[in-house]
Amino acid sequence: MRVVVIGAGVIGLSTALCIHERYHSVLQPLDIKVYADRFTPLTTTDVAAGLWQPYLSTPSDPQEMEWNRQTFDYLLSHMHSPNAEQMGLALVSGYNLFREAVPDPPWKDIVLGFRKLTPRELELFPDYSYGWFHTSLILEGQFYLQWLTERLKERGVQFFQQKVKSLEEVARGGVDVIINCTGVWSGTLQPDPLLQPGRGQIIKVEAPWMKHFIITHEPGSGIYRSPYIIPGMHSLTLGGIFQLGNWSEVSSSQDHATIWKGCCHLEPTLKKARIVGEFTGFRPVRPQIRLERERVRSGSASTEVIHNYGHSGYGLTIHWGCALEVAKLFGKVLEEKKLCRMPPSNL
Amino acid sequence: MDTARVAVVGAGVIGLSTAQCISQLVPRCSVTVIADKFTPHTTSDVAAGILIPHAYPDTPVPMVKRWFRDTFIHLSAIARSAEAVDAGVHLVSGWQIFRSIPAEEVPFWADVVLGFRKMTEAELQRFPQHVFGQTFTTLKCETSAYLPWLEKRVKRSGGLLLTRRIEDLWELHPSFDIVVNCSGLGSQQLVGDSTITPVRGQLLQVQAPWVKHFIRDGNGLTYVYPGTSHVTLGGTRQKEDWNLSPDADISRDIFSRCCALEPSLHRAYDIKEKVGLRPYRPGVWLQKELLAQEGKKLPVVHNYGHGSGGISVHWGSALEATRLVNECVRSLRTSASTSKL
Repeated sequence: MRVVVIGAGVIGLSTALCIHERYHSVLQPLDIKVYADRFTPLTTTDVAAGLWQPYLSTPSDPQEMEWNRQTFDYLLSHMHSPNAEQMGLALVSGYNLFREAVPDPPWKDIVLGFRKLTPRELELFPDYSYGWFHTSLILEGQFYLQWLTERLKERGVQFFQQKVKSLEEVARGGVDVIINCTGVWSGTLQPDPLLQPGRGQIIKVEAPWMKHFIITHEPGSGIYRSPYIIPGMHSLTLGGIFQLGNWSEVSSSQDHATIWKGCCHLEPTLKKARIVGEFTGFRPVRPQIRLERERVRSGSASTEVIHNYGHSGYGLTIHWGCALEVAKLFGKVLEEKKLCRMPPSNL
Repeated sequence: MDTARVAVVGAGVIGLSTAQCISQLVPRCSVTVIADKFTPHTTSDVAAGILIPHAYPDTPVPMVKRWFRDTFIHLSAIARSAEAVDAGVHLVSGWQIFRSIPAEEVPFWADVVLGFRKMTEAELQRFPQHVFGQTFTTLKCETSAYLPWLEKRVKRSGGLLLTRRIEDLWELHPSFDIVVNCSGLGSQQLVGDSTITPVRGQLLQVQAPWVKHFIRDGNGLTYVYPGTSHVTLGGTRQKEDWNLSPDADISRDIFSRCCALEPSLHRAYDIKEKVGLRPYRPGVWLQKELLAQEGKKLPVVHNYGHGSGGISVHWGSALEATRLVNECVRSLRTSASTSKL
């Protein structure tokens, strides 16, 4: 069984690992290759702050909330291992701030210790009148991708740097299953009018006294357009930019000023923070994730493709649930090819 | 007496904060801090500085609570100000966990810290040996930054810092009008107080910047306190032990106890061992005393014996000590003007 995973961000690498973990003992040989033109630290995942937090409203696809939960539980189970730091995984608590009362989010029972802010806590943030406190996880992209890469290499998965121009090109190489994890660039493989870049820019600073995340929300503004501050393994991410349709990969000084002003106003101690980097990335925005099978024809042959892209700004938050779902679909492909009978409970 | 000349003996967190408070609140006074040790060589420098107070057998709980509340309010304002980073003061959240249900499920200071509540079942799952827990947000006052910051403020208010070992409070007479004794464990020798004894604490300062929460095992013996420049892992409580040299076996034991609570600490690096002697006393000695000898008089305000709670209550006890200093100043000024009549 020859599998090619296109894309080496969190979606591509975690999907590759999930499939290998579940099928390498029943499918011999299981040959998985990863094709990508960008690897860590140049992927979209590398720019993400990495805080586990879905959007505030129930997703249009109810399966997505289940995938979010599976991801949180999976990561939490790794928290108690010495590996956590190598994975880029840490527990972090913090504040979500609003200008008016809002309904509780659908994920409030997934995270730990979710509660509303007390009046004395709100005094810390004079511009906001309502908020939540809870404990969540950070999964820092750069660390996690490196960890996933090591795990995959240990398993004999090979990596190839190349720009894939079409699914047919890969199919012609004699591949049984293609997993499309090309994120925001999926449009080049197959036009998708529902997929757009949600450009984000972030500033990384050194501010080791900041132990909490602080995420603000502006009514009517949409997610990530309001200042946010998220601690990482070694540095702090400042953000607040979300520009739909903007493909500029260059960091803009205007956006820098917006982020800096917004975050310093929210947390005045940041004025003493040392800036250590500035990054831009494109969230692969889509009304819902495209996670489905497709048969792609190339001449007389056809190849199974499993799409797994369009995770908007919650890729790290949802990645493992999606990987498990892809593994399920992969299992169905195998059954159809009569390669194995996988009882559902094994998945 | 025009300017009241005040000598503060001791330059740990108690001495420096009391000196600062006096400079701010006592009119027409000069302040000199005299100590044999200044930061980074004081007991306070070893402390992690997390704001979690404890009760004292001989000090009424409402008084400790008032001192803690005063300290918490004072430091909260610093934490939100431009001074926060220089002063080393920041918010930190975490968990206090117990192996058996404690007698007091809600401690006396629960409504002073932020967001205090019991831990949920899901939160306790990370600690399989513990059956009960509390979670809250408090402040951390990193002494390696706070003490130098306090020294700067004392100097900016016109105060002097003098390195000198005082063997007897009378050495300060007649150069000073009032003495404030913040000598901690030094009071055993300095004023002959045999009720103050050392409780030795060994701890580790490590690099583990991914640890964002504090964890304190119920009785406080084992703890993980993340700060700005390092994470503090502790600890020990060794009564009447004066040994300031770290013990390697104890360090290994501390590390292993902390890794059991937070396994990611196995990856900690740059591990440093430290030892401090907590100035333990059954009650904090915060009192006025008028020393008299051969016709000479020397008003003294004592402010020592804070045990493991020094940083947690320092500002409240500094305010109280300053109030007592003000009383001494007033009575000196009254007797001075009376004697002129």
